[in-house]
Amino acid sequence: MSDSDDDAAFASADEGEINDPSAVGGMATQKIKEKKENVEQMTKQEPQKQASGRNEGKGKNKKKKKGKNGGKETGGKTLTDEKLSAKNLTEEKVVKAEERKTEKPDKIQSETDAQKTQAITKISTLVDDKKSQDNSDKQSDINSDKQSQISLDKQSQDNSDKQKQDNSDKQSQINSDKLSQISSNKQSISQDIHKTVVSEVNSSKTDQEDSVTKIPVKPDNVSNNNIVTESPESVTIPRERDHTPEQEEVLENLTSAAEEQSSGGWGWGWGSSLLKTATSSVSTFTHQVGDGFTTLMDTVETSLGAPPPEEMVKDETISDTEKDEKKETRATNKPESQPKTEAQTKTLDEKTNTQTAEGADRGGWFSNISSLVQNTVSESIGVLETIGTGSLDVMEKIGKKTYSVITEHDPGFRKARQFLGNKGDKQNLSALLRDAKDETDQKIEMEKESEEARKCHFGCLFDDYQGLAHLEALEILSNQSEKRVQTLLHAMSEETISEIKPELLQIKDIFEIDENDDEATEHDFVKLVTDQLTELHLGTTPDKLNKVQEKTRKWLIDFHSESGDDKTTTITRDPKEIHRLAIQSLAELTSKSVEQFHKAGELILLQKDGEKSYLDRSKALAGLTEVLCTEVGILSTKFSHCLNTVGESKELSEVVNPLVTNIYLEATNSSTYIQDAFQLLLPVLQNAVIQNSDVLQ
Amino acid sequence: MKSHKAADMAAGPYNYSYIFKYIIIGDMGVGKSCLLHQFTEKKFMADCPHTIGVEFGTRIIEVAGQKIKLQIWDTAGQERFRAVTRSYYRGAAGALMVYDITRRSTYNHLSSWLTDARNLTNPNTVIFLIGNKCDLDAQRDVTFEEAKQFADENGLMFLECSAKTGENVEDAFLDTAKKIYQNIQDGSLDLNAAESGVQHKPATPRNPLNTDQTPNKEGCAC
Repeated sequence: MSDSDDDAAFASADEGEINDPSAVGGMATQKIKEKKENVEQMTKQEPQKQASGRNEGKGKNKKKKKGKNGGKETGGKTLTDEKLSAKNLTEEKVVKAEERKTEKPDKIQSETDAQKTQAITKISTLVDDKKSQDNSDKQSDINSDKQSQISLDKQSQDNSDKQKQDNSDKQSQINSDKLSQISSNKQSISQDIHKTVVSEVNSSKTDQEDSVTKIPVKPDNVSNNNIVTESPESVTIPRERDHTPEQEEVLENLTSAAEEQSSGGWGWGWGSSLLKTATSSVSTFTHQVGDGFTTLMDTVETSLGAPPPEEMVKDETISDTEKDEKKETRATNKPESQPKTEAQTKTLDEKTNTQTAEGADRGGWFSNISSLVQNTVSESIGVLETIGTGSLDVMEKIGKKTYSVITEHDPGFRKARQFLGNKGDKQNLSALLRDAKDETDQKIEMEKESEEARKCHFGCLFDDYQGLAHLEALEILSNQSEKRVQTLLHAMSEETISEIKPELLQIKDIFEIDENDDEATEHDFVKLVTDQLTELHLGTTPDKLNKVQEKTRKWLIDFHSESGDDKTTTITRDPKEIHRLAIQSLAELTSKSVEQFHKAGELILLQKDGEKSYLDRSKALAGLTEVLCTEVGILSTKFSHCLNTVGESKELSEVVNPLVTNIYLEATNSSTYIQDAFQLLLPVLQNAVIQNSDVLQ
Repeated sequence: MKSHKAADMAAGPYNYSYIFKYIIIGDMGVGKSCLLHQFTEKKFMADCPHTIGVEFGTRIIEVAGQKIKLQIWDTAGQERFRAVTRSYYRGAAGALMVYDITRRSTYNHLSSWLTDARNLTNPNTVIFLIGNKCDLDAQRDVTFEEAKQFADENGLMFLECSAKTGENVEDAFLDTAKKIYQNIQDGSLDLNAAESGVQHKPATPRNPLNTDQTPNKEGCAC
């Protein structure tokens, strides 16, 4: 017999006698051959087998299980329940079978029918293979017992009503699917799963039926079984999907997923609920969700340890003999559906293997889960429940697998992640370091710069020489004196004021010095300053002023004496250095001048003697201011001259010119400070005049 | 006044964030100027002339990572200058009140100095009592304990120093600065208030005047 025959037999078993009754018989016989263990049981049913072909085989297998189940089942209640459900099912199935009979011709003609057939074949293969595998793999009776028990449990939980509902639900879903024309792979996958579940349930049901009734395969039973597995939905579902290779791939995925489910007792229920979730989401969210579902499927596959193709092949070889035989039969009869059925058979076989093994260990679990699968309408909840019962390990495993799957399926993902992550980090770090370095460099540079700037910055140097502090102190004195003068004048009678006023006005006149813009002519600074201070008669010495002035003048003389003689030079020819020195000299001189004025102010306030008229002192101070300003002018001119000399000799005029300009600028600044300090003394002198006048006393 | 303003603007590139104004007060000959000299120059000035009015010293220190310029006003201790030096108390953030441990009279005058300091400075001014010449312990006339008690009673910080050996001189100046800085940090010293004795200089080394000179410098590089 050919493989296709076998296939056909399966198909016919599902669809009833539609396809190939004769083939069914052949296939059944083959199966019998394959599963020698079953022979004993099968002999019982043999006549019927030959009559109704493949159905018998099914029945046989089921019976085998059944028998065990029945033996184990002790609770009468469950038995009756099962009976009832079986009855219901039978009735329903009979009706369906009738309907189908009427539809027969149409189905045969339409392509859809062919697809249906394929789907049915698949389902039946699933069921049959399961059983046959049980047998061929020589699974111990215990195993099969367990399985049957599982199925029985399942059955007891799901009564026939539920089943009906499920069926109708599925049908409506399928119909809607058809209507919406969603031909996405995911949908078909989910439907496949449904089918698988249904068929399994159905088969177990039939087992129960058998066991309960203990009736050897009868036409009715057979038809019932067929109908159950053949439920119109399952028939129609495949139509939409089966043709494209893409879909086939998905199918395979699905079946492998199913295997995975069976690989763990809980996993089965979990996977199915997941798949159910997928189904609903697909139908609800249409094809947009499709991609996500594919991922989900993949994830499920990998997470549950789906055996890689090679492994599957291995598995296949285990049950090679049977399959080969099947294939042979199929090949002859139905070449078109062969590849698909092969794959399906493979996976189904495996599934049965694992399921029987695992399910045997966890009967209670399994039934729970299966019921869960059937009942779950809001899939997310189902998933959660199953996960909750399935322990955290599952979640961990799934998480890990999901990640690995994602990365596997999208190698760019990991790369991109690494790239982005690393790049970001590196960039940040290097940027940080670079920034830090730049900052430090900048800081150092700025410190250097500011240090250099300070060295030739008039204001800074003036501050360093305490010129600023003296100016501030003088300002304090001046402000206090002015206040005092105002207060005193306010308190004075007009008579007294008129007495004092002339002196105050005279002093004020002295302080109004005309700006002398004439070019400074050479003068004897030391002598003039000393004269003025003596005239001031305050006991202050011009030491500091003279020292500064002498130092500066000496340098200038040295510069000019060494001019042109580069070898013996001890004095810098660097314009920058000359400039720095000029500014420094001006700042120092200015500072000392301000200090001198400050001291004079203090002493004027303190000295109560009338030895010297304040008018004379004012004149002396004005003279001192003039001398100091002249000196500043002369110094700036001389320094500029030095710079120009250097500039000419070294052809650095463009370098020297701004420096010269700066010297003149700071010289003006210096003169301003000196004159300001002088002006600050006016209130001090006026205050002193009033304080020391005879009028007050 | 114009001149002062101009001077301020010309202060140039700052390498400090704050300026604290200190005044050093106390009787003539207790070693105020020597303390200042020791602090700024780290040298002992043996024959220090009498200070006329006020002299100045500066030093940049660092407190909590902030560079602070101490502008120290070293006042004349002579009684005849008292009228003038009182003018300089205003706007002092710290006041170092110095007496000579070998001369009880200088210690006895502290209350007078303290009164001036309290009256002429703002309430947040940190007053630091320094018993100078602690190197001359043999001639001690004022015990550490009684001075410490006086300081505690008046809420003053207190140290015995030696301008000659430099002992505790740094600490006296730095502790004062730390206390002032702490007052700034906890907000008890308002920088914006006049007479706070503290000028805040935003650390901007490049000021307009500096840029004026930039071309010069470039030229000088040749």
